[in-house]
Amino acid sequence: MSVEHVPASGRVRLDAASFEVLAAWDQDHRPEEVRPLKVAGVLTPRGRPADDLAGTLATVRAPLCSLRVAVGGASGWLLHQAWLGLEGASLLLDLGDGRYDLFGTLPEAVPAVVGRVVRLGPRRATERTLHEVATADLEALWQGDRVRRAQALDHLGGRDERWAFRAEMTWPMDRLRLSGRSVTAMAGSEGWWLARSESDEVSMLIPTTPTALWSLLIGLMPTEAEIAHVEQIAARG
Amino acid sequence: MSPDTGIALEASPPADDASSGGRLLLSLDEVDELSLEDWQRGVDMHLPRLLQGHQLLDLQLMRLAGQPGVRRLVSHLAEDGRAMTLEQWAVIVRGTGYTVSATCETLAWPTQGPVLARVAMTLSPLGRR
Repeated sequence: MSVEHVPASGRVRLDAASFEVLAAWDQDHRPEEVRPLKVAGVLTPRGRPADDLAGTLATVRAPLCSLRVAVGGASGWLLHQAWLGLEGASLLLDLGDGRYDLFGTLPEAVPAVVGRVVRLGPRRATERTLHEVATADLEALWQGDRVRRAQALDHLGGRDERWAFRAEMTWPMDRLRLSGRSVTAMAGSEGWWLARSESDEVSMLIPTTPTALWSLLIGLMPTEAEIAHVEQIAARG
Repeated sequence: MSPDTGIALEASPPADDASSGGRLLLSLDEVDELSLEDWQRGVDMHLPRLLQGHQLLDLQLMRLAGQPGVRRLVSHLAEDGRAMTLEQWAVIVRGTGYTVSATCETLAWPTQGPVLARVAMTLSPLGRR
């Protein structure tokens, strides 16, 4: 287990197993699971979260909604997560080496973090037309092994500087009767594409711009109407 | 025009307005013999130092007022930590570099950005045909 904590920074770098233990800090764990978290000062000697992490962990455990951002290409794939609350957001960014950065931020800062991890930025856009691709090839970029990703990249138009992401927002409780939403896009040397699901097997790649994607990423955040709805449900118990 | 900042026009809500901080700013630079590319290369080097959390999201060449121009989209943090989105248009007309900057809070940008962009396009010289 690997845990690094800069005291009072509100940031922890840790492996997945340590995060699972930390997120469920009030559950029963074996002493050897908890020890690295205590040694790093992430948990106090009494087993409670350090002051600078209490808010971040509270949001992880009881979020308003959650965000998963999978990003993949030739060199590999990463799965980032965010939990959004009314006052704060918690992020768990995949560093690609088995470790994750856990930290808290303001909810309105989340789109910028997502934009950074999906490498949203200018591309030299060329003349393009929309076309269909196999959804399985797109998904392979952030799920498949190296061989499958290489095969998928060939099907999607080439291996040069090509990557894709899927950012998905979900609500934690079915009883909220709220729909989640997602954005799937691919970047290549010819520009950005927005992927629209046509069926379980087929996606349409639509030429788009980073500006349009920025708007869609912001649109993943909960609206005021959705927040009001959740608060109303919560008030009813 | 302020000789110190080059700002010719600033339109923003009253200080006690708790809305999204939408703001339009027209600034002028004497660019002399600089090309659009060289001028904007300097801007691209300067902005990350000027804006905390600067993240260039989009940069495109476009026609503005019948001239080659540039549009950029940037995410950054305001001095008070609010997440902001800046959309900027720049063009050179007769040796003067005109830049129109539209800024608002990021969460408001999908709705306010297009409104600010439409207003920006009415400002001289961007709106000049």
